[in-house]
Amino acid sequence: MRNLISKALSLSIGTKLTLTFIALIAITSIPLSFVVVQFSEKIYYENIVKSLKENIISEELQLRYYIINKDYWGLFKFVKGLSEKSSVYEASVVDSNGMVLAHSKPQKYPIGSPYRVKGDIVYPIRGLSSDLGSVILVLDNESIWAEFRPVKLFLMFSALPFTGISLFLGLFISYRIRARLSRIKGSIERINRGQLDELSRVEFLEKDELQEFSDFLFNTISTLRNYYENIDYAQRFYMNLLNTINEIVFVVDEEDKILYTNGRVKQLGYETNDLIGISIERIVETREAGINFKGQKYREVMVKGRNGHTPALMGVVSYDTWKIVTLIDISDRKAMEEKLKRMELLSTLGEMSANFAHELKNAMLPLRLLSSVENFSREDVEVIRNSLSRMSRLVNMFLNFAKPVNVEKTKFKLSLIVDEILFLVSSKVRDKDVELVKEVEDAELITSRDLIEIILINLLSNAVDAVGERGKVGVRAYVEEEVLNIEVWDTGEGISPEDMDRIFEPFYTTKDSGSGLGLAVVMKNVYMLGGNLQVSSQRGRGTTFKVKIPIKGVQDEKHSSD
Amino acid sequence: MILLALLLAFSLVFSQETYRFGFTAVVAKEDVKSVEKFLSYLSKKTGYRFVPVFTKSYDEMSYLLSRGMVDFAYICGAPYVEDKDYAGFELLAVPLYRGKPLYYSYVITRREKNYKSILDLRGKPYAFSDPKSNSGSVVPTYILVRNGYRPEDFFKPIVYTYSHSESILAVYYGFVEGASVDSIVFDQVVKKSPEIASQIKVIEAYGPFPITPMVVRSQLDDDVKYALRKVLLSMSRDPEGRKILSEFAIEGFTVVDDSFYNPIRNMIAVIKNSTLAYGYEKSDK
Repeated sequence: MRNLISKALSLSIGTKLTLTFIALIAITSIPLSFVVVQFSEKIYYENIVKSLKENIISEELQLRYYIINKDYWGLFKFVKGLSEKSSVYEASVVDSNGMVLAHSKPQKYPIGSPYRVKGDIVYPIRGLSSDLGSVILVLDNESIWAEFRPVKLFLMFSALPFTGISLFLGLFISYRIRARLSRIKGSIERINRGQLDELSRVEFLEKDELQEFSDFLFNTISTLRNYYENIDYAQRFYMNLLNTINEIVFVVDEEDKILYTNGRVKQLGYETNDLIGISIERIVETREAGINFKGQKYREVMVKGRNGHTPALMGVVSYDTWKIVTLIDISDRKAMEEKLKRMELLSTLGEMSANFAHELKNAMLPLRLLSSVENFSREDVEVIRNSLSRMSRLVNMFLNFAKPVNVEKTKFKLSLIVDEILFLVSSKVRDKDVELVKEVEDAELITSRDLIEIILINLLSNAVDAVGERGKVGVRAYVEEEVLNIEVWDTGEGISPEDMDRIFEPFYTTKDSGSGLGLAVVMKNVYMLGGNLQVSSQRGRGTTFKVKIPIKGVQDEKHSSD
Repeated sequence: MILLALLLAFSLVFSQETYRFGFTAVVAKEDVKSVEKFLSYLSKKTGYRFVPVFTKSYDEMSYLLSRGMVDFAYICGAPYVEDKDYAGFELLAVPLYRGKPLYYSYVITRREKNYKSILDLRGKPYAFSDPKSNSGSVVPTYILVRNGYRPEDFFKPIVYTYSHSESILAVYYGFVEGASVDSIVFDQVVKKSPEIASQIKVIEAYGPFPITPMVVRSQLDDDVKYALRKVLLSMSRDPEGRKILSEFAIEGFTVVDDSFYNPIRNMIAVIKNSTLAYGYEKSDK
């Protein structure tokens, strides 16, 4: 049943209309025909009865006369006449005792025979005081209905032309609707194929809902076409705009797949279409956590192009489900930076040269002192050996300064290295009678010995320079929570606030004989070791440098500079 | 009672003397056309104008004749015998049937019936024409009386049709089992309605009896009587007249004496003298 209903519902409009017409006709005309036929039959029958009665009534006077005069022949002619009517099966006149006076079938019912048939019409002929007799008619129902049959058939089938007409109407209307719908559909299909320019208003003869619907569609599609044209224009506009800027722009989805890229990818040797759909991580190399690293908005990355790697600055802006990734080619800037670095290195080299010479002079000092000694004691030999070793290291360091330093990690004792550096500055200390305060933890470290030495020697030599006669210089070194802390303090004049901003600049110095590179080198080395440096100074009271170097970080990472 | 009065032929001059010609059951009343032809023939030949008058019974015609409301009439021998004195009419001419002024009283039944005689129809409905008719009433009554039967008891019942042709129809329809009819009328029906006649057979013929006469009011002008009689007697010599006569199943006219009708007078006398025929007496009054 449900199946049937759904089937019926999915019939074409035309079929539905036609079926509805037929059903309507059937619902209205069949009972109507039935009622009309029934009613007509009744009326027809009643009319026959009525007309027969009228026949009798019109002859009533004559009949009375016939009966009274026993005019059988007159009565017979009357009943014979009645029986000639097709609706009458037999007619008779009987007397008040029910005896036949005349019967239309005289051979069956001769005069004087009893007549017991209950007629369809019994019409009494009255005398003054009593009934003289009666006219009895038996109707020929078969003949009556046979006569009525054409009328009945006509009535029954009179609905047929209407059914036919409504069928035709239904088919016609449905055909029209289908034709009109297919015109609308055709115009939409043309639009669907992209022939937007062919959009034209579909006009029907019938100004009805379908016309409204068609107009509505036309208006809607026209509006949409305008929208589409605007969007198309905007898209081209922004596309062109995006292609004119220097950045490579990507739009990526949640899975970092590229949804869009501008024409700048040609710089990398790609075509736009090559990249759509692939993950952006296949062309962008990041140092950490892919492109989704939350730490910085802009990061330096390497971009894999067709023709090699290019350094770039990557910016990521995240939206709900997509991100805009911009890449700026910074290879030029990198080259510039490299140049700058080299220049710095060169200047550092100059300072280093001076310093190196100075250090070398310091290292050679024990040797010069010992040169006047005839026989070397064991200690003297040890001193000579240390001096030579130090000189050798200095030379090596100097040689290595201008080229990328591979910071070699070695295992050494903290106190030993402090003692070595103190020894290097001991001559200065003695010259100025400086009181040296040393607090060094006897810890073992694994880090770059050379860098630590350079930090220490520069800070200590600056401290000794800073104090006057009988001043105080202190060094404190300890390891705390995997951080090497080195504090060098003095009781000198302190640093003026105006100088404080510039002390790490290369070639800036307040000393007559200084190169201006000392603190710059310290800063560089601290940076290379991933640590930090604090300076605090009070005018007239002295200055303290605090260096913190993460040992773990140094141990874990092999830090190399370019 | 006047059943029908027709004005004839406006071609006749209005100032013509007009006479009424009565017709009774002797001719089939349905045969109005033959009557018209007959009367217009008479008019043409005599120069008088004739108007037909039809009555149902002989009594009515006798009455009309007695009152001068009918001048001529074609009646039956029995009413002639009975009414001529009181109504005041006399013989004009008598038709010739099979060459003679004689005819028969036929007893007819339907073809398929097995009756051999009027006496076989006892207890059956039987048609008489007019109570005064010779062939349709007097003759069968006479036969029954002579056989010791009272007709009213013998037939169940007697159906009076007041017309020989209707008596034939009553037999034809089976409404009555038998009927006594005028042989001339029967011959007319045979001639004009063979499909009816074919269903009917004559089982007895009584007679011959003096034929149904044409009578004239005694007081009518002799010239008129003479003129009409002359035309009637000469009708058979004229082709047109013969044609009309044949429609009435007769061949011509002749003249007879009053005594010619004595056989009928005798039959009536026998009936009247019988105690069996009260019905007849009744109608005689």
